[in-house]
Formats: sequence, structure tokens, C-alpha cells
Amino acid sequence: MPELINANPTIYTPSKKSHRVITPEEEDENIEDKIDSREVFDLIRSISDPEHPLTLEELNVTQLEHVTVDDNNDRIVIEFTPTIPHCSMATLIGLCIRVRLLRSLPERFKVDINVRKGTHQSEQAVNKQLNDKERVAAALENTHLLEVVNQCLTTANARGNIDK
Amino acid sequence: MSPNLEQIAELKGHTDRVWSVAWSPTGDVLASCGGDKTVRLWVPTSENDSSEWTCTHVLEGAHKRTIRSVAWSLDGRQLATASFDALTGIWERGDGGDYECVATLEGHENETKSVAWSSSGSLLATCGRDKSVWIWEAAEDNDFECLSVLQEHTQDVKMVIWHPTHELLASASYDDTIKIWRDDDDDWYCSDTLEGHESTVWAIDFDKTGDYLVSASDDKTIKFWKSFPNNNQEGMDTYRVHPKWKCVHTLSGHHSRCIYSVSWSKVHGRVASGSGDNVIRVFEQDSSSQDDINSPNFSLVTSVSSAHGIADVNCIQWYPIEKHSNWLATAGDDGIVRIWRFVE
Repeated sequence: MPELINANPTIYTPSKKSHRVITPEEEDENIEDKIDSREVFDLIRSISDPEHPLTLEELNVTQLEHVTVDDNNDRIVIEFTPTIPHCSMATLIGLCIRVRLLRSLPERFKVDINVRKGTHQSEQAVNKQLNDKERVAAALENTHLLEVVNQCLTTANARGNIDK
Repeated sequence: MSPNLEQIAELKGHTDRVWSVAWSPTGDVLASCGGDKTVRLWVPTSENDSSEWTCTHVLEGAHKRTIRSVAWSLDGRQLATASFDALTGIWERGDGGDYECVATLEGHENETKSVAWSSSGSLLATCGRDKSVWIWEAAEDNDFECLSVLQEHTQDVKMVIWHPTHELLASASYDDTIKIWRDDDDDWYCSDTLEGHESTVWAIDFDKTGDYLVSASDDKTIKFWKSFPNNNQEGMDTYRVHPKWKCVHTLSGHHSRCIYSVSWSKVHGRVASGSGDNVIRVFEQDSSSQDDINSPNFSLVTSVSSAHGIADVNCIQWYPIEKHSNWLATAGDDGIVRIWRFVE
């Protein structure tokens, strides 16, 4: 087994308030639901970390406060926080978030995914790669990489409701 | 009435995003390529009606991954394709009328992103994620010999384009620069590096004289560069005897996301851009700046929002000759190719 990048990450307990409460308006089929940050966060919170059997939420890599949604202008900005500043998995984690959103959100959204400012030593390089759609397209044609991404996404549908 | 762009036709057939379009040198055929690993050739269904187009050929089978760009040879007999499978394909129309892949050029380590034929027709340039630019020479029997591998970019090279008349090459890169390459007795070297963009340079195009270059970037600006000859009167420093390129004009505030493509009409001189903000724009040189060759000023003349609906515009190309010089072809993430007419 190869050495882990971060062998002992801090584990956070998901806060209850982030669990989505369905309002009567949302139940009403006649009212158009806007996509909001909670909905987007629900899509990405339960993605598995590439090297631990934990979700991105449990590692505090993704946080509700770091998801910005502008539904009217079709823009979403996600900031994520690598567990350690030299985390070599940062690009892969960002790619998992991107693929999850590509597959789940309406196509009209333009999504920017960035490492949260000051949390990674190669912040700019990681951000540039994650937001270059040609590099992302090429990465997704790499079957090995796609398998790894799909593996991380197997837990994503839990949307925070993971029994431990 | 102010100038505008009207859509003439929608070309549907690709089953994935369309990355690139290229008019044949005579403008008779439009080639498109993309994520479905095919090249499609399109012609108007009838001479008098340009609203209906037919896909006459589908070139497929040679590439295992996305075809990122396509380029016609000078005589229109051959097509070259750059693919994420690291290969460059050479296609030729056979006697039966079908296109066949007659050669595949191997050399790049991974994704090949752009391919271009020189104006003389004898040289081919390719570039890719391995940070290199390759110069190939066409020999007999569809044999291509690699003349040079240029490795001065520090990142992914996105696009290569040849000067309209000389054997001079320009390349645009993820390292935020543009490099100019020339040869001295088949010895190719970088003669200038154009710095100024603050992010990836996705596309470049020369004007018809080749003295000016336009570039489009992820920094959301379009820059115009001019070649200042040696012993110039402007007193610019020059490297040895080579002209030095200098940015003479920047257009900003016109696109809100990455600009993927730019095209400079060789016929009427207008510049068109396509972006990840779904918008296409057309710029024209101000008549007041026509006399000042050192500082051309371009202004927006018309735009189309949501040109490909909710999808990014990946490529934009002016029709190459006088006949329909007001036509533009665009390619989008929606898998559609569109033809537009610029109306003054």
C-alpha cells in the first residue's frame, strides 16, 4: 500500500443544519424551484475522498458556505479546501466535483471550481487546470482516471445521509 | 440600420461537442470536428439556397479520441486532423470520392491540439499538451518527415498558425505567451515571445498582410500585436535582425468568460470572437485609426448573445474569399455548427 498523502486527517461531524429541509413551496409542483447553494452542496458533500473512506464533507473539503450559486445568471462558484497545503489529490478532488456537477446540474450552468484562497501551495496551477475545459475533456477520455473519479462518486448520491 | 449577424443555417449531425470548424481554401466546403471523433464535411444543398446544408462525408475510424482541430491543405485535396489520441491524421479524397486516412503522424506524447499547413503547402505544424511544437515536411507518397521539435513553451500549446505568405509560425500556449518561430536553413528557432496576456492564450490569427496578429485569451481580452521591422523608426529594441512584436491594442470588457476563438477576415479585415459566455462578437477597425499603422483601434460593431443557446462557442471562422466574405461559421458545445451572415 502506497504511503498516504495525509495519513491522519481531521474528521468533522456534518452539521445538522446543512441537511436540507423540504419546504411546502418546494413540494408545490406549480412553483419553480431555483437551484440554490444547498442543493449544489448536497450534490457534492458525499463524494468520497480519493484516499480515505470519508466524504468531502467529513473532511471539511467542501462546505456549504463555500458554494455560491447565481441561478439567474447561470453561474456557480465552488471553493474547496484541501486537507493539507501540499495535497497532491487536490486536482483529482476538484475533477470529481466538476464531473459530479456536469452529470447532475442543468447544462446552462457555467461552473468555476477553485481551491480556497491560501489553502494550497499550487493553488493557481490547480485552479487553472480545473477550469480549462479542454484539459478536463481530455482527462475524462482517460479510462483509468475516469474509473477513479467514478469510484469517488459512488457515494455522492447519499447527499449527506450516510449511516456510520 | 446598424450592422447585425443573422443566422443562415444550423448544421446538425455531430453527437458531441464541436471543437473546431475550417473552410476549404475556396470556401466550397466546411469541415467540422469534435468530441464524437469524427470530421464532417458540409456543403450548401443547392447553389442558390444557403439555408440548407448537406453533410457529404463523415471521416471516422482513424482517431480513438476527440478530434480537436482540422485543417485543409492549400489545394483543398487533403485534410489534417489533430486528436487527443496523440496522432495527427492526413486524409485524402480518393478516386471514388470518399476520404481515406492516408497517413498518421506519431510523435506527440499525448493530446495533439492543433494542426496547420504553411502557405507554401509544403510544411505542417502541430502542437500539444506535451509543450512542444513540431514542424513536418510533406514528402512524396504521403510521407511526412519531422524537421524540428520545438520545446520552448513551458506549458501545453493550444494552437499553431502560419503566416499568410511566409514560412513563419505562431503558437499560443497555456503558459500565457505566444511564440514566433522561423527557420534558418531548416534550423527552426523561436525569434520572439509575446508576453502580455494574463492567462492561457487559446487562439491566434494573422491579418492578411501577416504584419499583425490577433490573440484571444482566458483573461477575457483580445490583443492586437504588430511586427516592428529591424531598424524601425519607432526605436524599438530588436533581437538580432528579427522583427519585434509589440501589443498595440487591447479589447477588454466584451466577454465575461474565456475567449476560445478569434478570426481575422483576410477579405474585409473584421475580427470575430467566440467565447465561453455563449456570445459571438464582431469588431471593426475605426476609420479614424486607419492611417495610424502603429495603433489600430477596433470597436464592437455587432454581437449575438446565446449564439449556441446555453453552450460555449468553441470556434469562429470567417469565410476565406470574396464570394461570401460576410459569412461566419461557428462551433459550439451544443454539438451544432452554425452559419451566420454579417449584414451592414
